[in-house]
Amino acid sequence: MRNRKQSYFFFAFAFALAAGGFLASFWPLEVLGMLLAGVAGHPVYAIGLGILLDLAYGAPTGHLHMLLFPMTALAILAVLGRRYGGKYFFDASEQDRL
Amino acid sequence: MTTISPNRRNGSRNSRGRMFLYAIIFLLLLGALMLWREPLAGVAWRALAPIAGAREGVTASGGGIFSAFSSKASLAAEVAALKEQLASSSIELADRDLLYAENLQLKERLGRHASSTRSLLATVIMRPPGTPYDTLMLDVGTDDGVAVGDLVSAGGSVYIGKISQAYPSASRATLFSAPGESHDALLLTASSSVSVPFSLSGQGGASFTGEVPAGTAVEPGDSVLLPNLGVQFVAKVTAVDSSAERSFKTVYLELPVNPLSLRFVEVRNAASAASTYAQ
Repeated sequence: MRNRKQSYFFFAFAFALAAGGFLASFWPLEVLGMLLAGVAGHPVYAIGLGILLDLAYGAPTGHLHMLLFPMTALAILAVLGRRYGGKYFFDASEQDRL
Repeated sequence: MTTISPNRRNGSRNSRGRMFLYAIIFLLLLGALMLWREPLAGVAWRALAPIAGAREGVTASGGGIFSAFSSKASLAAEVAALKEQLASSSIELADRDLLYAENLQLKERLGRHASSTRSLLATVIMRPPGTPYDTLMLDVGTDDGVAVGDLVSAGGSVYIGKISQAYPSASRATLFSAPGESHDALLLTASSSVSVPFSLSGQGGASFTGEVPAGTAVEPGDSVLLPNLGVQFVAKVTAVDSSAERSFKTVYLELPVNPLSLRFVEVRNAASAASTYAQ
């Protein structure tokens, strides 16, 4: 239960960061919010925000242009980090009381 | 007594299937995004542009979120410094207008007639650090006649970038200084009145770098033009790094205007701007 509460708190914090990044005109905050959502276990929000950022800001210039969707790729990395890192770090020993 | 959750043990069996399903959905979504990226971005900016424009209006009228925390003394000092800067800029501007008119007259005498260039005033609704990759978001789009490739000017003959994406109600301008962008340029040295062709590489944050032969008499303050734009001013030299053992000098340059402080820009039709002196 506590984990779920913590997760909601992280989600709210991630949303506040992303919205704050847009309103304060500072894109790294938006990316931080997206990464936090991915790590906190909200893949739909993280990937959705990554896609929205990629649509809004376009592809990078120069050689990085080949990435096409860099923010979405970052969000996927965060989600995969949560999923595979979770086996060892987050909720590594989920327990039931008999 | 505690034990490993049975849900956790059974869950691993289903999780692979679920992951496979998510991967397929994601790939389909990615394919759709690649196909309809521009129309979807247009829809996104139709929603985001009014918010960004309103925020820009609030920031411009209020002087920013943190303006309330500025002390009166620092504001007074800033106003005084800006007044001084304005006075010196006005003198330079008068001088520049005179030289520009003379330049046009001389070109006309030599058979290069200036064609009329259509300019469109645009408000900058987002700028770095609000946007990544050294781009500006403008409040004009294809509905206003903006097209990909149009040149963006900070005013007069100072070009700072090009329109890289045009949506119905907004457009994205990529600055010449965007990281990874390179341009063929001409370095005009004030001391020897010669022009040296070199490659200008964007470094992001309105800065460039380039290399010129060691014998070139380049100094901070020298101007750089892009010849393919009908010879227009794009950057000025800020520092030169030369060492005796190297056969090239590294030149550091910056845009003549600070893109972080731009509120308005002019969008000029690429074809007419390029043909201004092409005759």
